[in-house]
Amino acid sequence: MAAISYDAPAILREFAARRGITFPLLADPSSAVIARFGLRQEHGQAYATTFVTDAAGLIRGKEQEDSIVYRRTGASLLLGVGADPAGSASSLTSPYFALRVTPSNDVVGPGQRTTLALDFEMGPGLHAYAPGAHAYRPLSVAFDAHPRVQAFPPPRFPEPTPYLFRPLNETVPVYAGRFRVLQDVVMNDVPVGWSQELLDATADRLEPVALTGSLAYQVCSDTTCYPPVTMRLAVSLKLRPKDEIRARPELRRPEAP
Amino acid sequence: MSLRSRVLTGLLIAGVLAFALVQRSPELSLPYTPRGPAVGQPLPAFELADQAGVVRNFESLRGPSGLVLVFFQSADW
Repeated sequence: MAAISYDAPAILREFAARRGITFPLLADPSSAVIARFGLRQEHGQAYATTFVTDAAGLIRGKEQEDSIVYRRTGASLLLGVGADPAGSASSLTSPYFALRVTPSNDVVGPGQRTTLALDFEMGPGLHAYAPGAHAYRPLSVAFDAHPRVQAFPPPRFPEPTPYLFRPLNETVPVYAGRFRVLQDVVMNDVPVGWSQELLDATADRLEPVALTGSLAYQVCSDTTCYPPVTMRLAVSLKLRPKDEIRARPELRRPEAP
Repeated sequence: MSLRSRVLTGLLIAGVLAFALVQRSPELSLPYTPRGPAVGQPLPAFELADQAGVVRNFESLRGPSGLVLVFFQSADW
């Protein structure tokens, strides 16, 4: 992993030291590379964009957001292209499957977009109905509103498998075996001053964020359909303060605000 | 696969991606304008000094599965 900005090397050196960043921060003070990528803003900064390439340099994933406040975390981006989540897992059980919920990030910042991985392992011979199986209760995930969360966008479901239910001669989309559902969580921005209050008030400088939600589903085997079920979900994240420290005045760009 | 069907497949994938991205932004009111090279294209060449003054390019940065390259606004403000 590497990151590019239009900052001078001295700014990047001090920023990396202060934040404990060990991956390369590349300096493009003339914005030449930023312009070659087609990402140059009016004053030379880059439009925030993340590329994930393969070993040959082909772009396999890309994330862009015009907002400088609401941004997807790197761990969330990697989860979206098939990596395993880096956060702490919590396990839930039902009579029909095992479920592990793991955040891409245990600690998130204001405005960050993070992702929860819901990893299901269906019991032998059982399947759950996927979205589109209208005659049954399809799998659905709905998180409850939270004051620190701006939005829970619609979850990303994997491709279901068509299943032929012989007694009714109907084919329906289902999930069996292991599968993963991704639920994004977009954290709200915080008011000016909140970060300092948090730094002053708590020993670990983090605010607990307890997310709750519901998981609805219906499970059948080849011979038996069980009643629809709604179960509760609970996930714990921690919110960190914003980093509002600037570079030393003598290092700053003259035209920067 | 012929060149024609590859191009058509590529256009179809690009269309689906564009549709998915357009669909994604209104729900969050996050304005988003497509910029820069698209998925499936090669990463443009680059060579820049890192915070330690070491000049790096794609070959020296990539791991066995590739590279995550993040463009960000500024480390200052």
